[in-house]
Amino acid sequence: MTTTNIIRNLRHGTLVIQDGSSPDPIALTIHFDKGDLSWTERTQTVLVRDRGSIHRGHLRRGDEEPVELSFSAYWTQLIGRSDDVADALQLYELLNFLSGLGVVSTSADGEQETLLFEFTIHDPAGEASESIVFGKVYKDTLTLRESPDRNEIVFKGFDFEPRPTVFRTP
Amino acid sequence: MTSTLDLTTLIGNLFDYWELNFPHDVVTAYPGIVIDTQNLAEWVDLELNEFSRCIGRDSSPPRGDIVLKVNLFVRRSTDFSRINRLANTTLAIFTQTTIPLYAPDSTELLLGYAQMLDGHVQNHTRHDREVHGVDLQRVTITVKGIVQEVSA
Repeated sequence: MTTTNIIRNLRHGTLVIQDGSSPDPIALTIHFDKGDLSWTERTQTVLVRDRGSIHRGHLRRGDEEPVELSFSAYWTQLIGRSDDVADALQLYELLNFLSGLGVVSTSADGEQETLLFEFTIHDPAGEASESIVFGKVYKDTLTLRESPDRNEIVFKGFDFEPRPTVFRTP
Repeated sequence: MTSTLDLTTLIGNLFDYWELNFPHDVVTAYPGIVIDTQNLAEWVDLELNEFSRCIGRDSSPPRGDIVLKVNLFVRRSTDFSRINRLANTTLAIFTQTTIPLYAPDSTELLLGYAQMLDGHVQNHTRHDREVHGVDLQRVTITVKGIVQEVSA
């Protein structure tokens, strides 16, 4: 597989959210996201100055920080399968682990509930697509916003990993 | 996701909806069809002015924005409020309505929805008379809408 240096844009991305069920996770492909997924990998650095001098000082690694992550989607149905098992799974109910869905956290029992986000960027040339996996995403805020044309669901959260896993996909 | 809704199908659906809901006995001119208005006291002219695809994921069902324009013409008579009644009916038909869009010659194969938003009414009667010397009442109703295809 070769690399292709063609600029990717929101058209090429697909976001899939999965739970921790094994071997067949519950998965939802987000069809109405705005294409504004954003994540920030953060690094803490301890600055050690020698009697106030940077020139004679040095840097140390600080604590690891979780990845900050956000995306927004257009608001369609909020609940589906949690109301009727025959209905399609909806984003809002999955993110909230609503009862009746049987959603299993990707973290151990007793820990904060997390989900796996897999973001795939398809190579426009069809050669070197890539997947970015955030394994333990927990919700910080979920904002539901009205608009004259299209209502929105805005997710902000963190992935409890220092960085996501990136790999090539066929 | 590949679009299953072409322009002809979209126009056909909107105009079928108009025909089904417009209760007045008024001749309607559809795009591409020329009608002889010489002996008509009133007529309607429908046009789909704009259709633009929204930027979105390749994997998402296609979406787009449309602008529908309905032109109402009434020759001057003693019934000056006739044009307003036609305008009110048109607004009621297209404002804040969701129109299902079906495949050609089908009432079951649903391709998507046109979600019509708020209407804008413009009366051109005075302008037409003063600038062009045309003694005809003319009102244009413009309605923006959002077209969304449903996934197969």
